[in-house]
Amino acid sequence: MSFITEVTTVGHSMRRYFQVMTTLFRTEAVRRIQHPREAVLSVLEPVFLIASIGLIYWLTDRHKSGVSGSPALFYASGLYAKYYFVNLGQVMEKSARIRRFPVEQWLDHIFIQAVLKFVDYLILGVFLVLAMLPVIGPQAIPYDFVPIFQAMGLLTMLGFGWGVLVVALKQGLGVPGIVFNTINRILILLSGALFVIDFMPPDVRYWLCLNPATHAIILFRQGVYPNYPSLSLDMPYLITWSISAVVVGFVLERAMRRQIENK
Amino acid sequence: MIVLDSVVKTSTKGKKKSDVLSLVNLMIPTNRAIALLGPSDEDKRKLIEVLAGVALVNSGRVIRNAKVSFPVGAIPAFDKKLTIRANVGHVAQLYGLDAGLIIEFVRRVIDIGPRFEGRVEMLSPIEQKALMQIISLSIPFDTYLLLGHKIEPLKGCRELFEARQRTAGMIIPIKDSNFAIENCDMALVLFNGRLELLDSVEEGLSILSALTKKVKN
Repeated sequence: MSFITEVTTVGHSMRRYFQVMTTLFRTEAVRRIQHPREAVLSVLEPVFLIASIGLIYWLTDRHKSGVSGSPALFYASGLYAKYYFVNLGQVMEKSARIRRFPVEQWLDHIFIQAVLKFVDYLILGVFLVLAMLPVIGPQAIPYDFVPIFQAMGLLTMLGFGWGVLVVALKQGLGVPGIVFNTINRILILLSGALFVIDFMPPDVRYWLCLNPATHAIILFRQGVYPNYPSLSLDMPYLITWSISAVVVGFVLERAMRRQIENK
Repeated sequence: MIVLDSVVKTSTKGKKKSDVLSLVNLMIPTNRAIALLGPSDEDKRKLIEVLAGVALVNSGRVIRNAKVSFPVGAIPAFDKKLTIRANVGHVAQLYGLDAGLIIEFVRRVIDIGPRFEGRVEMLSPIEQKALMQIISLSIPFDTYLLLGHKIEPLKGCRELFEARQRTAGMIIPIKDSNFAIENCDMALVLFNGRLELLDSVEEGLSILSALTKKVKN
């Protein structure tokens, strides 16, 4: 095992780590405030999709979605959760490309970027609710925030594992980025963001439910709709996948550390 | 003291692998001016990066019992979208220092007037390199790891370098033997994966010369 060590006390190390993380967080926040374009662009795709689908439904005079209520709310809830997962995965790769001083580690940047992405999506969520409130009324406000935050937490864990795996495959095996962009877009269609999983035929439902993000989206929508059909939701399956993703992510990060640090 | 404990570091160029450090066990003092000598500039650079913690070793441990700088003059860690002030403040805070003091110090030393409030990318390449050297040298490390012995010709840079020479250790990759003899009092010889510490620069230069002749023959 190879590592660089400084002989120091645990207390000193913790204080130092806290100081480094605070600095990284502050600098990244300053960068985003001075150059908000990148943060805004990353949330533009789901907003554009939600607005487009809502517009199409309005123009075609269709007022029903997969469940009762506004189609815009239905698609917003699915796409919001799915894109949070996708963007979080991309954040892992971005973190690997950030050049650092010796006191910083790749994991530090992963954590900072993940926290800031969560904040981005919190702001986006508030924006979406406020945008839909005058159009569809009080149903725009989520019914129960607990499943929503549970889903966001589990999607964060899944996103971390998926993102680090993508970095490992790209840098370790040279798999081109377009492969993962394509897979991500296909998974958006196959994760129940645009339809209700419970309403699918059983054999289709079986295959769709193999994707852990599908369960996370069902959980998320349980917070938006009081009676969302959730027979397909398998919490143990989702939690197992989320924990496994974190473990795999840490193992890969450790394995890739030399390759990333020496670039 | 920097302790290298059974350190192996390899370098890959295309399909060719070479040993930068081959099972090196050495204790390097951090309060001396040490000339890093060797035929390969790339290997010397890699060693500096390993000692700084910028590059990881393949096996073994690098133990630092002193505050060791990042490679002096390394530009890549700048965030070019941020202002110079923000970059300097970032580095100062990363190393637990008063950002205001360091910013003011660097601003006086580099002396570029109102451009200090602008972005890093507005500076010329020489000014960027000088800025990074000044930032590195303005932080009080026990020992400084330089990427080369060329200090940028800005007045503040040279004065700062000389001030640090008097109070801290340095490890400097050097090609110019006269500079090494004038400014350093120990030598590290890096040759074919072997790293040797010598008590004088003259000794280091003669050993390097002997090793080079041996390989040629």
